[in-house]
Order: sequence, then C-alpha cells, then structure tokens
Amino acid sequence: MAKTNTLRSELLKQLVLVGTFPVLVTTLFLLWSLYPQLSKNVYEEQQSIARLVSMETKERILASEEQIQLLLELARFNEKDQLEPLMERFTQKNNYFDTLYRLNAAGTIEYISIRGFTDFAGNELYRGIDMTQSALFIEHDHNQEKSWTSVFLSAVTGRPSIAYVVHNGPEYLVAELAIDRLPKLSEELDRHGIALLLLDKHGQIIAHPKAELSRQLANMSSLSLWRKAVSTGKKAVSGEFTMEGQDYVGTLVSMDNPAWRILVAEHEDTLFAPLYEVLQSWLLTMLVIFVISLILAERRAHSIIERITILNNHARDITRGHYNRAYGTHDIVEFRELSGNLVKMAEAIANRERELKMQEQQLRSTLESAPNIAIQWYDEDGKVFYWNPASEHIFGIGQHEASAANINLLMFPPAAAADFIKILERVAQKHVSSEDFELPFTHKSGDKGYVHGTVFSVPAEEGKDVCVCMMTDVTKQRQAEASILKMNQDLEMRVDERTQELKLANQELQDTIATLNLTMNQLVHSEKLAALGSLVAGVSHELNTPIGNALMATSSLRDFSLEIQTQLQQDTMKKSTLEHFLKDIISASEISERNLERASELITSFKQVAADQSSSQRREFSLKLLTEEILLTLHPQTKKVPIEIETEIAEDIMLDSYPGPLGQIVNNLVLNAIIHAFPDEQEGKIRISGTHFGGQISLFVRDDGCGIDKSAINRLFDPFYTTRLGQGGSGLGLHIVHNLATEVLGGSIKVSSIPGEGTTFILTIPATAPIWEKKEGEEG
Amino acid sequence: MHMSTHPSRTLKNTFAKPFLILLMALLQACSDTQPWKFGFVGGLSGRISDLGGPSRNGMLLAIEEANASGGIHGRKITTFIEDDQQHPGKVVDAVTELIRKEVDVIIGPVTSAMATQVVPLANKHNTVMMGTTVTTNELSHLDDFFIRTISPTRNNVQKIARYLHKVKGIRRYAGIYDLRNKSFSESWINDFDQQFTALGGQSTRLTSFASGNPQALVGLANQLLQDDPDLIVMVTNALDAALLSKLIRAKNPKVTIATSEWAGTERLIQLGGKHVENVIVPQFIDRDSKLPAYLKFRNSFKRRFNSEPGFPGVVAYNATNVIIKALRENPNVDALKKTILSIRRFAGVQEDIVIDKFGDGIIETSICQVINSHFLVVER
Repeated sequence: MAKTNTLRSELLKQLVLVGTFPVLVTTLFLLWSLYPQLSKNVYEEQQSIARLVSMETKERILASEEQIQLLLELARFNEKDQLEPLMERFTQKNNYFDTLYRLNAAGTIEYISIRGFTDFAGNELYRGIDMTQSALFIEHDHNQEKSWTSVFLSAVTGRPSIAYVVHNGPEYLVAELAIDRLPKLSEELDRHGIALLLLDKHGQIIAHPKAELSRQLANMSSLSLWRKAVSTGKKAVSGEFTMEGQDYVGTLVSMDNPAWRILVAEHEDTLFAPLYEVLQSWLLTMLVIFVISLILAERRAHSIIERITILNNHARDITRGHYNRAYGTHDIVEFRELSGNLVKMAEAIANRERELKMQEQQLRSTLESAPNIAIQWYDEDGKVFYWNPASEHIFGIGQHEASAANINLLMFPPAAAADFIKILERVAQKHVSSEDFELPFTHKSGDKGYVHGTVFSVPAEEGKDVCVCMMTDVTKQRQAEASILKMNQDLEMRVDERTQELKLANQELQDTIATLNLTMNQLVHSEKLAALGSLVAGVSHELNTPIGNALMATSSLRDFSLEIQTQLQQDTMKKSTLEHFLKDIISASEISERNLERASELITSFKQVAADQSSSQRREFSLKLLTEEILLTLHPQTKKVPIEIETEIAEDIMLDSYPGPLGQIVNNLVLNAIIHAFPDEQEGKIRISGTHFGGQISLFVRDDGCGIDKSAINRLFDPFYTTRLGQGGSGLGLHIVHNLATEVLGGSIKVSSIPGEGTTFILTIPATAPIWEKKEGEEG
Repeated sequence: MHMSTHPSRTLKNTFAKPFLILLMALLQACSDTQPWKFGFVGGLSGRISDLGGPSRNGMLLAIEEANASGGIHGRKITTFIEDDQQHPGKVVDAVTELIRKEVDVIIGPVTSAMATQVVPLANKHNTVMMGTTVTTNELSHLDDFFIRTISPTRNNVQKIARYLHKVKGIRRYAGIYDLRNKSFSESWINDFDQQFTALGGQSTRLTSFASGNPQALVGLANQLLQDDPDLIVMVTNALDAALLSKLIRAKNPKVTIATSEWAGTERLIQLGGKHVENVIVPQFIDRDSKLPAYLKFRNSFKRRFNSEPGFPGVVAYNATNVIIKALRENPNVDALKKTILSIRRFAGVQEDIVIDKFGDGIIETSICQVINSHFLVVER
C-alpha cells in the first residue's frame, strides 16, 4: 500500500525543510570561511613556537658543546695524563653530561668518568669495552670534527641517550646524555595543552613532556606528518595526523645541527574549541528560530486545514447526494474558486443524474414494450432477474414465476434446457456473444414452438457480468417452412415425370435425325451414281462419233465392195474403177482406223476416270493430266454450251493423293460453274489454274459468270442448299466438294465472289494427302 | 602537477573537513564502530628495554599493517602502551590501568618475572594476555588466560645443555643468573643444571645477582672464574651479559661463554662488540633466514623503526598477528581464548606457530654462536 501522509505533516515537513536548509547552508558557509583561517593561524603559531624551541635547544647544545671544547682546550695545555682528572672533575660538575669517555682509534673505551661516581671503579668494568658495534660508533660520521648522535641505548648506563662526539687527535671524546634525565627540557616543552616533542633524525623521541615516553625509545617516524616532512624535504610542515588514536593538528620543524626535529602538536578538539563554541551557539540560535517557525508554521497549517476541512465536508455532501447545501465564503481566492467549482460540480452532477434517470426509463420502456422480442437477464448463476412482458407473452410464464423457478424447468424441454445453460455458461465465462441459436420450447399452455435467440454479456456491478438473452418466437416461420418443404417435394416429382417424357421425345428426334442422315448418305451416293451415269452418258456420246464414223466407213467399204463384186461378176470392171475402188478402200480403212483409235483412247481415259471415281485409291499422279482427263469426260456437257474452258497447270505438279475425290471436286466445280454461273446459254470462260508452294497445292477454278449473292455464299457448302430447287439440283454438289476437300484430301475450300463479275473457288490440299485409317466395312 | 595537488588539499581542508566536523558533532552519539583496544605492557626503559622496545615495535607493526588493510571487521585498532620498567609493582599498576581502560587484549609482558605478577590479574578479568618473550615454566600447562607463541624454558634448555656437553665436550661449568627475572632465570638455570648433570657434567659454582649495579659485575666475573671452569653460563639480560663477557674475557680469553635466549638480542652484540665473539646463544629465530615472509617483515620493521627486530620483534609481531587472525575469525572478544585454541595453527614469519591446549607455543630454539658480530646458527 502506498505511504499516505496527512496534509498537516506534509506542510510541516516542507516548512521544516524551508527552515532547515538556510540554517544548514549558513552553517556550512560559516565553517567554510572560518576553518581555513583558523587553521592558518594555528599553523603559524605552531611554527613560531617550534622555531623558538629550536633556538632554545640550539642554545643549550651550543652551551654544552662549548664546555666540551673548553675541556679539550684545557687538556691540550696540560700533559696527556691530565685529561683523565679533568674529565673526572668535568663529569661531576657540568650541567649536562652524565658520562664522559675516551675512545681510542680502535673504538675501545680508554677512560670513563660517570656522574655520581667519584674515582669510579667502573673503569675496570668499562675500560676496554668495544664500542665498534654500538649505534653510537656506527652512526657517527667519522669525517666530522664533532657531531651529535641520534638516540641510542647507552652501554654504560643502559639508558636511551644522545651523545656529543668530538675528535681529539686519533681518539674520540664522547659525552653521553641520558635523555630521561632531561626533565627540565621536558618541562619547558610543556605549554598549556600544546605537546612539544624533540625528535632525533630517526623519529625517536629525545624529549617529551611525559618523560617516560622519551625513556621508552618511542618512535614517531610513522606519523603522517613525519612522512610528509621526509617526502617534501621542507623545513617546516603542518597538517593533521593521528597519534595514539587521537587526532592532532601539528607542525614539524627541522633543526640543522644536530639534524633533529621539533614537533608541535595540539589536540584537534581543543584547537577548534572556539569554532565549536561559535557553532554551538549558532546552532542553538537556529534551533530557537526553528522551533518558533515550527510553531508559527503549525498555526498557519491549522488555519489552512480548517478551510480544507470545510471544502472536504462540501465534497463529502456532494458524494452523499446533498447538492444544495450552503457553506459560506472563503477569504482565500483559490479556496473560494474551489468552493464555487464544487457548487457547479454539484449542479452538473444533479443534471446528469436526471438525464441518466430519463435514459433509464426510456430504455426500460423499450424493453418492456418490445412486443415480439423476449428479453431476459440472467446472473452468472443462471438465475432470472429480469423478464420482460414479451417473454411472458411468448412463454406464458410471469416474471415472478420465472425468477423463482429453476431455469431447467422453465420453458425448455430437458435437452434444450441443457443446451441453453451451456450457452449461458460459455457467455458468462468468456464474455463473448453467443452464436444465434434456435431451441424448441413449450408454452405454459402446452403448445409447442420454437424460439430464435442470442445471448451476450454486459458488465454489471462489482466486476460481475449479466447475461442478456434476446429471443423471438419463430414458431410460425417454422410451420410455413414445413409447408414450403412439402410443396417442393411435390414439384420435384412432377419435374421428374416431365423429364421422362422429354427423354422419350428426344429419343424419337434422334432416331429421325439418324434416318435423315441415312437418307442423306443415300442421296449422296445416288448423286455419285448420277454423276457416274452422266459420265457414262458422256462417254457413250463421245464414243458415238468415232465409232459411228468407223461404222459409216466400214459400211461404205461394204457398199464399195459390193459394187466391185457386182462389176466383177459382170465383168464390167474397169481398171479405173478398181483403182478408184482401192483408193476408196484405203480411205475408208484409214477413216475407220483413225476413228477406232480415237475410241480406244477415249475408253482408256474413261476407264481411268471411272476407276478413280468408283474407288478411293491413292496413287501418284499429275494434276494437269488428271484435270485434262476430267475435262475430257465433261466434254459432252461443255460442248453444248458456249463456254470456253482453259487450263493453266504446270506439268510438274505431282500429288500423292486420292485422284478420284479430286477429280470429282473438279468435275463438280466445273459443272457447278456451267450450270449456275452462266444461265440462259450465256457465253463465258472457265479458267482452271494450279500452283504449288511448299507442300501445298492450290487449284483455282474461276469463272466470269454472274457471281453468287452474299446471302448465298455463307450457305454454299451446306447440304441441300440449292438455288435451283425443283429444277434438277440436288443441293448436295458443293457439300460433297467440301466434304471431299476437307475430310478425304485433308485440305480446305474457299469461295470468293463478286456478283456480276464472277466466282473463284480455291482448293488448297497437301501434295501428300494424309493417310486415313480404313473404316471397317469400307472397300479397299 | 604541483598546482593540482595543492588546491585539492585546500578544498579538502576548507570544505570536506568542516562538513565532517558538523557530521561528527551530529552523529557522535550514533557511532557504532568503536576501535579495538590493544594493550601493551613491557619493559620499555631500563636494562631490559632491549626486549620491551622491539616487542612493542613488533606489535605496532602488526597493528599498523592490520589497520592499513581496513582493520578487523572494519574496526581499527588503537593501542595503549604501558612501561613496567621490569618492576613488580609497576607491572601490576600498568596492567590494572589497561584493564581499567577496558582493553580487548593485552600483549605482553616481555619477561617471565613480570608475567607471573600479572597473569592472575588477567585471569581475574577474563582478559587474554598474549605474552611475547615469556618462557617461564611456571606458566606452562595451565588453563589460564595467558597465551604465548613460544615454548617454555624447559624444552629449550635441554637442547643447549646437550649441545654444550656432546658437541663442545664441556664438563665443568659455572652459572650466574639474574634475580630480577627470577621466574625465568632460576628455572632456566635449574633446568640446565639438571640436564647437564644428567649428561655427566658438573657445576663448579652457581651465582645469583640482582641486575642494576654494574660495579658488582667485576666481582661476579672474578668469582665465576675462580674454579677455572670450561664454561660460564649466564642467565642475564644482554647488557649484563655483554659486560660480564668483557670482564671474563679480560681474565680468561679461552673459557667458553653461553647465555640463555634472554640475552640473545641485538644489544648483546652492540654493547659487547668483540668481547662477545664466540658466545653461544640459543635463539628463537634464524636471523639469516631467507624466507620471503621474514625478509618482508624485517624490511618493514627496519624501515619503520630504524632497527633490527631481533627475536623480541619477531615474537611480538607473530603474537599480535595471532590475536588479529583470531578476532577476524570470531570478533567476539569473550571467546578470544577459545578461538585461538581452536584455530591452533597460525602462520608465523619464520615457521608456523602451533599453540597447545594450555595456550603454550610449541617452537624449538636453535643454537647460535656470535661470529664476526653476528648470530650464526650452529645447530638447529
């Protein structure tokens, strides 16, 4: 759940924020400006202290050095064995050194005097001690006349010490000073909370306000400040560092000779105490201001919250439906506007509610008044909670009855009820409209009927859905449909009967057509026979002349012979008569011979034509020869008419085809032209020409006759089409031509004609005819 | 480059620091990361400061390294250092002060005499006391709060007695021991005598003295040489051993000198110089070790303190690391002793440290001889 805040806490928070921020910023700024200045001052002060201490220390060192120098000076004026008593006296009297000893060049103690021990028996103990391994000897720079050592553990006293080493010829004079015996120096280093440390070059403490620390050989070289001094090489470094777990601000200053360092350190807390004091009082002041502003803010917030509470009550009243209450006026513009807007909002809500009520009434009356549409509302459990009057009308069940009863038992028979429940469940679960459905029902009166309907879901309160079911009574439609179905069945039976009758009639027609076809074939055949007849007639006619001539010559010869015979019998024959007779015989013989030859030629020709015509034999032949032979057979017909027939066919046009059908085509075309192109003994010309191109032969039969009407041209090759019906034309001539050209020779025939100018038939056939499979029953 | 580092420092000082001060002022009460408190007690001044100083430094180095790597569980370690001055009264005050400061653990003391004084205090307050160079037998085999990383005297004495008898062929010896560290020295010399006699040797003289009066050493040296022994055994600190050696050598350059491991510090050579040549000293460490861990430690130590760690430095460094390791394992201070005893084995700079169920280390000494001012191992 989201975190909620009250307006009061929110306002207070913001006011606190606004109050705190400047305090914080000012505080930081204060620190930011004060702190560096303070640090700078501190460092400067520390440096000056360190320099002061450095100077003081230096003074002491110089003073002690001077005493040693003085000792050496004194010794030089005296004998060598005078040095030892001098040393003895010096040790007892001086302010600084605890132990004084003389080392020989090999680093062995030659003589030693120790403060507090007069006539020291220790000389037996210490004399001869080898100092070569001691830090004192190892660290001492043997090139220097004199030097101060770092802190080391004295072999003599066992204490951490520093020593002043001076060359005295090949020997060394060593003056040791135990650093834990520097309480005075340590005291001087103690300055009111400021720690002052004197360190040797290794960071070992020489002097410290706490004397025991110096005694412990404590080492300060791990301080960050020390590292900083070593790495930068500066004579004075300042900064913060941690020592023994406490934070310090300090300054480290280097001395020259000896190379010691002075550390001035102050506790960070004490150092910045003034800053903290300022900060504290500042924070206190700010706290007071803050508390006052908090109180003021609280009061201000309270007065605003009061106003808001009034507005809140107003809004709550609107929610509860009290639109017309008065709430007074506000002194803040925004609140006044908000209040005014709330009033307007209340009015608007009231208006809208009225509109909604109106719409609801309209909707309800629509539902209630729909006369034929049964509308029902079901909840998700399938319980009826709305049942319009149309439902009551259709099913004979009232709203109360419907609401009370189990849906199974309402108006549907069990199977239909189950289907309906399934539909409702699916719609309720999937929130989709159902498919249209049709279910049988039983009216309360017991009448059976059908409803057609659909179910869909509409959202209702609390995320639930309402299933709305709309149904119409389709009982009457179903009854009408049933009767139409019956009528359709009757109609189908009648159609079957008619179909049967038509089938019979059709069969009869087909039989008739077959008969007709047979007749036509017979006619074609008889036409062929007629053509053959005319051929025979023609041939007979043709033969008639030569045979008649021969007959006449032979009969003349018989007459001459009989006359000769008579004269012989009568012996009246004269030589001249015989000679004349012989001449006549020869002449008559010649005539008969010539005519018989002519007859023979004709017969040969006819024989060929007849053979071709009566069979469909395939052979190779010359187009020209065939045409001439056909024309010869036509001579009887052609010679009777004033028509000239010309041929112009190249001799080399050879065909491997069926000469009979081709001859018949030429025959028919020529006869057709004679009969139709030139009526009334008209003069004219028929020209037959042939060409070949590629494997195709074209034969042109052209006349300059009367031509053919356009209306006739399209039907020219139809069977039984004739312009000379009743005048001897069968109407099959050109049909036969067309059949032969296309079906036997595998070619085509076309006609072009200009009435009054002539007609041309163009036969186009392959030079090599297609091979036809012999039909059964046909002759070879 | 120089320009860039300087302003960044100023910025830190001028802005971050004031902010931190403010923040600390506000949050001081809420702070939960109190540092660990490690106490140290040892002789930092006086004649035995050669044990105390390096011990403290060894401890400091271990702590500084731990702090540099983020402390223990994010908490830094602070130290409280007390100087017992090898004084029985001072050491009790020092430990009482440390316990008053509620330290988590005490490193030290560095001598047996001091340890025997304060172990009861540690036991009383359930504060783990990690001894450094304390080898007395008195504190061994006790289930107490005293823990150490090295073994008690008895184990070590046997070795040197055997060495001197078998290898050096020595039969007669004179012994001297320091009453100021009686709990160590007396048991040491008694053990030695027992062992040496058992091997067939004999003592010509056993002398005790109280360290602090150098003049007395002359007479002591003469006494020791009276019966012309082959060997003089000194259970003293390094300074006394150095001075005695010098006195003895002056009278008798031939006599063999041996010391206890107590004197085996750098100071013996620094103070004794040529007079401690050939002195035989048992050692807990091998100064010539080339082990990387030891070299790294030794370099760090020398860089940090400008001196050799010696055996006290090594022992204290190891001992402190044992505590640090145990607290890292289990930060519960009340269970510290249990944690140490359960871990049992710790890494040391030279060899692993094994601590037995009584909190005593199991580590063997090696025998060294000073040759050319250097501790040279002659028998391991």
